[in-house]
Amino acid sequence: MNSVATASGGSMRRQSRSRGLVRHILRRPGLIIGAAILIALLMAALFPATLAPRDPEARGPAMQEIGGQWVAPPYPPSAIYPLGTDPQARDLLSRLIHGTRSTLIIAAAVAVFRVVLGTGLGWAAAFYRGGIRRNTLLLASLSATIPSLLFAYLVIVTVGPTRGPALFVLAMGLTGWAPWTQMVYSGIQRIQAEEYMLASEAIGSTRWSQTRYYLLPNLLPTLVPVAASEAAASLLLLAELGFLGIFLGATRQVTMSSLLGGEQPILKMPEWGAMLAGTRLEIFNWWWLTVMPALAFALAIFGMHLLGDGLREVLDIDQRRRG
Amino acid sequence: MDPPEGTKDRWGAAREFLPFLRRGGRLLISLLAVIFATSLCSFITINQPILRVIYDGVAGFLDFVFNLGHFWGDVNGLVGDAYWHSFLVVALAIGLGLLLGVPMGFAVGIRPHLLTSKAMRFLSYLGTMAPSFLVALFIMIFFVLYVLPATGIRFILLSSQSEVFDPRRLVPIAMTLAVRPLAYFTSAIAAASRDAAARDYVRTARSKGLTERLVVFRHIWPNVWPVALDGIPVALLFSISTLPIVEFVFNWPGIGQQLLFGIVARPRPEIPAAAYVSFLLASIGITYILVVLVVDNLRARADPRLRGRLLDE
Repeated sequence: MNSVATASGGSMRRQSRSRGLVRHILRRPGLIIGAAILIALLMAALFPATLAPRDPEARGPAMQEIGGQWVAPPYPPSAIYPLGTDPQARDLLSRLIHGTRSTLIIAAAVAVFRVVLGTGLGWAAAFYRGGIRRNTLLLASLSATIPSLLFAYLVIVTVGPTRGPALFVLAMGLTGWAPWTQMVYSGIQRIQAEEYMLASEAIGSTRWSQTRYYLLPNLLPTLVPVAASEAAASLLLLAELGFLGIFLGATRQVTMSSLLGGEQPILKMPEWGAMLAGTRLEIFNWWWLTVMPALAFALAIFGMHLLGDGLREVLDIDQRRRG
Repeated sequence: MDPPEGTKDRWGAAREFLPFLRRGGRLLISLLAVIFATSLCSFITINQPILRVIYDGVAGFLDFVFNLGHFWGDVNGLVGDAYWHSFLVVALAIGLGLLLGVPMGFAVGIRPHLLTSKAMRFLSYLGTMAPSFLVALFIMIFFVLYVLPATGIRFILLSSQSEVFDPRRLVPIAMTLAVRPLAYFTSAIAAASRDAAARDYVRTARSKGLTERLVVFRHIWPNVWPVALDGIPVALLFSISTLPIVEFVFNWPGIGQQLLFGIVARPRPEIPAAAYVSFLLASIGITYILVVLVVDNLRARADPRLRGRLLDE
């Protein structure tokens, strides 16, 4: 009878806690907007053929009547082409939807690379004292001084953008991991000073079991929101590289002088960064060529940041309530 | 057996600078590592064996270190020119950020419940995450496609064929670079003001019947303005990180654009790209180090508690 009462009490507590969490989520419009943007992006990445109004590679007619006038491509935004077309008369909305998958995969891969590298080094610095700790922290502080954009640009330009996604992930992921190392290191240091960690050491817990049962549950609420911001930072880097003429799927390297001369690169693979390449000088003639992919990037970055900040607040409240 | 009075004072003054020197030394080591990485990367070419790349990279780095003076003689004109171009826009951007962000943040922080304060907080939140190239595009579109036809006045210049310097060329670049520092200063000062306004001594001052003006400017403001000093290196980092893309968009021959050019091609056939890129990076690094040291020093003078902590280090 007593155990039944305890079990029902526990389930009621769990129910009320999850209800409280839902209430906190609903009170944060930023979190809801961020989640909605992320869901929309995921839908576009998973079902591009269903959502896109046209084939991304299909070229439109050589002339089109828009707003009562016959115009040549690129066509401006209109009822026929909601976001306009590129100079080859290909629908920008369809290309953006089809490009979502490769863009998100690259951004997510870079974020995961940075998180794994930074977290692993932070964990090593926290657990192995002496030379390993000193050198890992020195490496992290050195890496933090290297500008990500310049490093990625340098590596991709010198090795060649035709080398594929692995090069992009490596070039973009080899910088930007230092905050993770510092965060994980200081987080573990803080947790290690807690009494339950001393107790776990006293009962002879291994390093792995300490990580699994004590460190991860306490660190995750801090790390998960930052991971969303990391994905946003990777997207921003991808956008900036695209703007500089470095993008995934380039058939050849787009040089600075060709970009400054206004050359339009041929894009084999619809990717948001690629759609930005070479459009700088077209801003006053065909603004939609630059603004539409840039807005897609901005919307995704905004959504990730909102999601990260919202999650931080909700998880912080949840952790505080747990004590 | 205490040392003579004068000697003690002299060592005391020297000891005060030790933390700053130590920090400067650490930053210089970082800078050398960056230059080494640049030298290494400059020798990476397609299908070249990795050992060859490492050998050429190390050789290039040593060549650069041993012939520093020779290379500097070749590139100092180019680097100096690029440096002053960037210095001008970055200083303007940070100045603009300080000038607008500090009073705005202070106003937001001491009146947090006003609708305008909430709107400002949201705008500064947007500003810290806005991609610089998008901001640059909007500034270009706004001034060229809307302001110019409406007023007939050319407030900004996107390119100039004339040899005479026109300050309107600086306006769009400084405005773009200022967005993130402005947003950062606004939010940091707002948070510091909110925090200071909730302190016990402010409540005590109010309960004593002091006027609101006196409470704000005598008890809140002195605890808030040092935060602006702390924000200067952060704002400088924001500006440096966005410099290449902003200078590329506006075709401004500063360090950011020259770095991108230097990575792709040599500025002159006789100058190695690694040396040129390294000198450009070094000029940014040294400026950052100097700014950090000056700000640390000013901050320590402004706040006696921090001075004690730095000396303890």
